[in-house]
Amino acid sequence: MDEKILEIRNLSVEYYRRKRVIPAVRNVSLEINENETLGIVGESGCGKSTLALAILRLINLNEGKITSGEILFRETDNGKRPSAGEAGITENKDILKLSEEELEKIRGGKIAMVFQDPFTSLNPVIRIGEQIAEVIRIHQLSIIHPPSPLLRFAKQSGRDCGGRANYQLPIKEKVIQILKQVMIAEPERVYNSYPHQLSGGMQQRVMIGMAISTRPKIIIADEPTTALDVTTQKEILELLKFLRKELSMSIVLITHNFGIICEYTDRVIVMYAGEIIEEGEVKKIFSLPLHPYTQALIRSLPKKGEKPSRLSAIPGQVPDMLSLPPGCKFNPRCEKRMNICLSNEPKLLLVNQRKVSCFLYN
Amino acid sequence: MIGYILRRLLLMIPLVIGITVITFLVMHLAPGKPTDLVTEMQVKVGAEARERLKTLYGLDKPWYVQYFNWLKRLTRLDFGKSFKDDRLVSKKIFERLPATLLLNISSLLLIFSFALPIGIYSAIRQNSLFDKGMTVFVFLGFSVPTFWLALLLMILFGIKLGLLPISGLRSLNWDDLSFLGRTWDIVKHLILPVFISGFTGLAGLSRYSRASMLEVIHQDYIRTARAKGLPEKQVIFKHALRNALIPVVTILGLSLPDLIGGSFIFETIFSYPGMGRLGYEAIMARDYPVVMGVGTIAAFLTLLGNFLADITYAYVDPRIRYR
Repeated sequence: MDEKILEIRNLSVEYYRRKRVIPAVRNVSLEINENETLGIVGESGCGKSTLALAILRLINLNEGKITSGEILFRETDNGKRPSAGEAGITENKDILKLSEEELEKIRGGKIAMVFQDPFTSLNPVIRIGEQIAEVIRIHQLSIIHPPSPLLRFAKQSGRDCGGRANYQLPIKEKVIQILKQVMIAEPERVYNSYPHQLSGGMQQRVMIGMAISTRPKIIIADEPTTALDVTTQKEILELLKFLRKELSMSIVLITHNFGIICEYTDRVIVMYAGEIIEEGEVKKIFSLPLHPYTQALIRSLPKKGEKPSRLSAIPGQVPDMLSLPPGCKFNPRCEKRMNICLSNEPKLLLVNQRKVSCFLYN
Repeated sequence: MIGYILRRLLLMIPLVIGITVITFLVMHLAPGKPTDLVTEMQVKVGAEARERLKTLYGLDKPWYVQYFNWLKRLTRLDFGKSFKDDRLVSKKIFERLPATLLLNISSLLLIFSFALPIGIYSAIRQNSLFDKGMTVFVFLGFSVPTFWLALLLMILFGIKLGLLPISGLRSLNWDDLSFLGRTWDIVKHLILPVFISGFTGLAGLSRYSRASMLEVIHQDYIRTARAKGLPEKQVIFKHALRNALIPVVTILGLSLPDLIGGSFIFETIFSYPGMGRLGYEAIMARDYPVVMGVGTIAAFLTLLGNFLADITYAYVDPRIRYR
């Protein structure tokens, strides 16, 4: 625990639309530790999905690009984590500097993604079984080669060619195993199904199965439950929670739902207008939010037992990324606005064991 | 699925009948009679002979009676005999079929083997120099009238350079040629017509496949495929291409009637002995049985093409199931 596995430094992403520049993510730094669930929360358009896509360099080059920053991924030898005290061979790789080939090994292999809408995220004309199998195949191939006649001969003659034991299991059985792992009731049927034959919840389970099939270190789940109904949401989140423990990986859970953050994450990052404005342990932030935006967000949650006549809302509108105000980007909507907020930009500073960017605290 | 196929096939019957009624009616409304060629144009033939001819061909009866007689014969697959030379219509059509098939299959192969790669590459490299160049080419392909281009190329290659024959399918010395010589002779005759008919088709289909591919590569599942760590080649050829080709299947189905029906314009310009010219000449001579024969086959093939496209659609896209 507490060992950094991914570190993002000063990342900025811009989109280009009709020759205008949209600064979707501005100077964001964060880290992801081993075995933790990190929540990223914010309104629509605050840059949280862009941040997620940028980690795997999935931003469409026709639409935008990563303008600056570093994304350091700590890779340990053999995929084994060094136990405490033992120094494994670790290497920090800047994902932004990797070649296309090296990047492909990380994508889906070390860092996997689960997207928002499972229906559009699965290929409609390829069977579920194959969609999962190809991930396993591609990432196995980068380690060892498929059983060629030569290899089979070597096996018969009793020599070990360095192939992993799990390769011997036919890929289909591995896929079925994964489907069982994500709690799909009829794995055989689902294996031969097309995406449209499954319910939304099942589709998202398949997406999760695809993500865990290579035992990645990190799963980035970009609003994994937004497209699902409430009961299914809970099932999916519980499944992610269970798998995180069982497979000891880290999860980045992106959502606009503070309720989900409270229940399923250890640490939370609050984003506003492409920046991090507050970061810290969920419990602390929830019991004592510092930034006025976080305070307003938590206040707008409906409380258990109470029946307010109106839900409290944050006044004003989601910021227009094309014309951000000078100074603190939240100032037009902030109820504690001071003069300095209109002209200067606050920095993310450590306050009370957490980071916050607001002039109230420095 | 079988029920669906049967239903579609049965529905074709009233459609074919409807189309033939209209063809028959329009043909009779057109000025000029089939008997004109042998009567009006020749002074020696009197009015009495004309009436005799009319009775012989059954042209003295009202058009709907004629139509029903024609339909009755059609149920025995009898298209009747040509007014012009008294030969069986079906025989005349079968004579012309190989030439038309040869021309159209060649140009279809040309179109598909070039248009798909061009369209896909333009989509992958959107806004690249290649893509922009192709846009200009397609613009030309659409806007240049093909008969005009055909004539220009005939002047250049056939007359100025003397490289290619400008009409027909065989040279005069065909009988003296060896097997290889004959093959080369046919190829030489095909180059210009295939190029011309491929040119417009190429423009259209490459544009179409580019649009289809562009739409697909912006889909979420392509992003998923990349996020899985698949190499770009697999993303494009396995995940994108299969989806992008679904609409292209329709185009293939719809080109079936052209494949056999032939083209009036190309075949006439190049004096090509195909179905298109047969139809054109029959219309000019008011040779009713031949016009009806060619028309019925074209109508049937259009419907069949649509039908096959729909069936293939269900085959390539698992989301579509007919009941």
